[in-house]
Amino acid sequence: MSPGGDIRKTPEPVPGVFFLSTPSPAPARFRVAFLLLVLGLLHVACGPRQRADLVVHNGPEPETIDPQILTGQADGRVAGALFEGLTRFNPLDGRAIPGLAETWEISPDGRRYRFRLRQGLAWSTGETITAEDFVWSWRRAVMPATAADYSAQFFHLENGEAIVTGQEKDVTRLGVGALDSSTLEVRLVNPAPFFLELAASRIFAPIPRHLVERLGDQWIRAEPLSCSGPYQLMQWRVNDRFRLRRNPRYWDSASVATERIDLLSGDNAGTALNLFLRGDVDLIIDRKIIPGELGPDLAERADFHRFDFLGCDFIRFNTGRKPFDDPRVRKAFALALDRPAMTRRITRLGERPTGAITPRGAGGYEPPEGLGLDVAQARLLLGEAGYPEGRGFPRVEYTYNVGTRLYEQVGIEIQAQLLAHLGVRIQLRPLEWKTYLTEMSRQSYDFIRGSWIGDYNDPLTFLDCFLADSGNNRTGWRQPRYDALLRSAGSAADPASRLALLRQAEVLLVEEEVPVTGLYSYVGLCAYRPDRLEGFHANLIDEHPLWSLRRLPPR
Amino acid sequence: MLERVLQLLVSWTRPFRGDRTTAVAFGLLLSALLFALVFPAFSPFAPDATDAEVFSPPSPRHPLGSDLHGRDLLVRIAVATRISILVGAAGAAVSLGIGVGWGLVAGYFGGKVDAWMMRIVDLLYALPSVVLVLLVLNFFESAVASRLQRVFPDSPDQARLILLVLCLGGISWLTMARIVRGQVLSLKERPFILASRALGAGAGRILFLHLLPNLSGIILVYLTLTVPAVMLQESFLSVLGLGIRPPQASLGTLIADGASQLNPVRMRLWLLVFPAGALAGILWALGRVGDALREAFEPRDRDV
Amino acid sequence: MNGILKRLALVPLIAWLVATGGFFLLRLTPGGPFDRDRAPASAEVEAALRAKYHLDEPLHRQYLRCLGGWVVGDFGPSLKYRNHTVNDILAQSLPVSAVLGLLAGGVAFGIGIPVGAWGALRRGLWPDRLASMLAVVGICIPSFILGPVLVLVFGLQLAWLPPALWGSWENCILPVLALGLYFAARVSRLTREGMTDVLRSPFVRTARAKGLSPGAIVRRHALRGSLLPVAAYAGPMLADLLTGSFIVENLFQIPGTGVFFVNSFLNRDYPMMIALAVLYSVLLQGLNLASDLALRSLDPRVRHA
Repeated sequence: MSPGGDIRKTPEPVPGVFFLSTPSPAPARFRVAFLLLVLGLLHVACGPRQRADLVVHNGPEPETIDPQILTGQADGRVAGALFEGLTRFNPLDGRAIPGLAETWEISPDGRRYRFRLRQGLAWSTGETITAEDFVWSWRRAVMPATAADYSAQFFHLENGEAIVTGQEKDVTRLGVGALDSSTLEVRLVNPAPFFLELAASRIFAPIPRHLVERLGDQWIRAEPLSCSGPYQLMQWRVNDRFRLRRNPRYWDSASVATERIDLLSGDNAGTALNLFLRGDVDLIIDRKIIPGELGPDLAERADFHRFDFLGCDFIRFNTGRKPFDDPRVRKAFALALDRPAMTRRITRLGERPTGAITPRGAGGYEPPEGLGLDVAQARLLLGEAGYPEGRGFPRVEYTYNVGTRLYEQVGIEIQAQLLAHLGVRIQLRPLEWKTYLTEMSRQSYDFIRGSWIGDYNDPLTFLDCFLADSGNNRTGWRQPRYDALLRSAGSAADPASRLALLRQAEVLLVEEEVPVTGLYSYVGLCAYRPDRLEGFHANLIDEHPLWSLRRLPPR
Repeated sequence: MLERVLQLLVSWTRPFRGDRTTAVAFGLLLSALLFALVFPAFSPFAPDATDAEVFSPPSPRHPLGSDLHGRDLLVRIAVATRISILVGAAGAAVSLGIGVGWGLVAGYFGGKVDAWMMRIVDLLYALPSVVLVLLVLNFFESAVASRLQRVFPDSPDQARLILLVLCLGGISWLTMARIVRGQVLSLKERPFILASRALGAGAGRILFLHLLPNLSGIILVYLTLTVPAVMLQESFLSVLGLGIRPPQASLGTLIADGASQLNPVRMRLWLLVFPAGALAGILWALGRVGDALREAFEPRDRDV
Repeated sequence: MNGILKRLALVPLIAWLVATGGFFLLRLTPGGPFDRDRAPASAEVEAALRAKYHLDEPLHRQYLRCLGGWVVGDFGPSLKYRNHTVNDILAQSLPVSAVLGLLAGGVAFGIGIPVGAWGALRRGLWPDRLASMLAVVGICIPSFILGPVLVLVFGLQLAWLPPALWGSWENCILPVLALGLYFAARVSRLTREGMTDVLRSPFVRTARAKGLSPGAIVRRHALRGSLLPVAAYAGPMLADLLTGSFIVENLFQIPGTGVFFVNSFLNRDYPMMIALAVLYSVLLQGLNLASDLALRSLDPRVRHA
């Protein structure tokens, strides 16, 4: 007879309740100490909190908000509220309008800009902002020692490329100068029609010299921080929020619509959605933190808004590795993909399927169509390349990064389509982000997911990537003809012939040689209730200045 | 000795007679196994075949519905169950082999042996497991894959799965070791152990004939906690891109995928409920069978 | 006492081994902290960036430099969040995770132990079956399912509690439940097992023979012994809880430490990752020591824990 049997049979009146009052044999003083500890920590961990006048979900925690160092979109939104350059973005269409510069003249050859700064410009801490501040800041940005990843934006300035690449050590030779304390002259290499938009981007904003000289690289942590933009920084808590307050010394402070703004940081899309639906967030500004799978359902609602923007997903083929060293195989793959089916079934936000790289609308450019679905032609090419009906085709992998499930879903669709159309069974190879980047830049892949977001409103920001010596090429494809076309487009004085040359280059890229083939161009998605927020407008470069946003009282 | 072993073996079957719940649980486990192994061969759908009928709710054609790609959920659950069982079994095996052994030895010998063995456990706990998994995949995946391809030229690539199962086993045994060791520290001072030691029994005999049977309960219970934890760990690694390769799936990854259905806008709950139900059913049955086994292992003569 | 001092003396040694192992293993992983999807402006810019964080030095020099920092508790700058040091981030986030973890630990013990003990006393009867069933559900419903369900019901449908963010006590409730119930299920299984074991031992039968009421038996004799498995498990469990949970913090957008355990790896934020491993190691050793001491006090037969 086991002792357990005894217990089981005995009907016991042991109440569960008594345990609840003494959950463990810990003496009472431990419990008191535990309670005090929790309360104490609670006090440290939480602070009293008041809802700001406007709460914006900004996406992932920024790496940095230093305008010269930052690269991320979320980073740029914070910095864009704190710092302003010669021009700023028009909230309506994302084009450049006067910022710290009031007026400018452009020389007839399009290579010399003369900016006139506004009178009485000052940092939020009171120091004046002069043309010399611009010169000093831009010189600092191009110095390799500053290690600014985006300093390539200065390649359009005279000697910019030479300084960034270390061939020219004298930064004073950069094509910028102060004619007097409120006149700035900029000298460009080529007549870049997009320069005014470029001048509105973060890295062209002046930074407070007095702080940099005192604190070095970590000047951005100064309290108080000297800001030139519509807002100043009140609080920065990692993975929580930035609290911003209107900058009364901003030149256009009167038209800053909202006094206090909270920019929340977080990367869970479902959570952002919940906060928005509860009314705790007024605006979700980042495409990536709106759950993609709900896209079609959300897009039908009045409080979600779709807009085109300058970004695309595409495929890179490794032209240095069999079987994709053969252009016929690359073309066959590009012709075997049914992109409309992909956007209809998988991405489902109304993305534009395209075999090209440049999205439509970039700087008035009309991109080529690229290769579309043509199964017969695809099989023919594959047969010519020595794999009739896909027979004998080597094992190839499609590599993609995990992060959002969309990339996996697109991979599964590519796998299914290639099997159906070419009889080729490919493998999928998911990698975490950094491994994916490493494999891509080492060209250790067969074909791989690629994506690009334009830095400014012009096809060049996409086509630049595939120059033979571009660090963004990563396909092993070198085509002197392509490089020559881009070069002659650069020096073309007439905008129409410039765009025609760029288009020729893109045709070569996506229809003839096909080291890359486009899948679809992006659709942006943001969330706000039109009856509760004003001043937000969709635009192609996804720039939404905070100064124009205002929360409306409930009607 | 032999008699003892036979007795144990006979007693193994005892739990499956008599008690109805246990019989149900055992039946459920067997049928889940059978379903996972056999069903995909008879299903009209291949587990990775995409189809135009996307997001179909449960219907005669798709009894458990279909997903974004139009893949049949029923057959996907079947193949996912295979992988989950494999992963769970690996975790259980390593926990049993290394974890229990480690805990027994540390607890029984105590003193310096115990101190050092448990410090090693402390050390391993703190090393970040994702880094280890990434390194293993990175260094060995292509080598294992090419070797596998030479042996099985036509099979899909299973190298990641194999490495993953090994890694998950390798990081799942630590808590088991701690728990077993804690019990042994207490058990070994009890009269029946002291007595057999006084009678000159060797360490091996005491460990395996006296201590192990008395630990069977806690070992089985902790196993039923380890198995789901390992399965979920696998889905977590898959989310990070360190797991199995799509279109392969495990119950954990199906559930993780289905988690996005818990939103206030549009719930396609079949994508979550069925895989989660399958996992819960299997785990419940495992726990029940474990409990019954425990009754069987339970020494009847401890305090004699 | 001597044993405790020896254990404490080993804490820094093991933490050092963890940090060293972490340092070298991390360097073997592909990719670096500054790799991104667009190439740097130039090779010179990239070199300058690496030089700024001493990543261009030979590995042993880098190691010694880090070691120097570790000795004084300085883990250096974060390579991902470039305007913050690692210590700065931990100082902001650790109290948050600790509050959550302590409360979740309270839930785990406060629910798990009574339910488990109750189940053992009614072993095989309906309360036990029910508790076991709930425990299985709790064990296999991970927080990434439970959390969203709680949010949907209490955050959105009923709108009683905030669905996310951190700031007041209301923000604590859902994450604490999402985190604590899973562990409560595990604790209850272990308690039930420990209790069953104890109830079968001779001293309980003796006590019963003496005519003690079952309640008194449990309170005075059985509960202590039955907590042995829980005590052994409590060390790792509390270390996990106090350092935060990636899933729960990510889901509730809570500025805690847990998210960094995963993100610092994905970002190759070497100093952050090492700091977290060291933090976890020190905490775990402390808690394991406490848990071993608890084993000893729960069961006087355990002599050398």
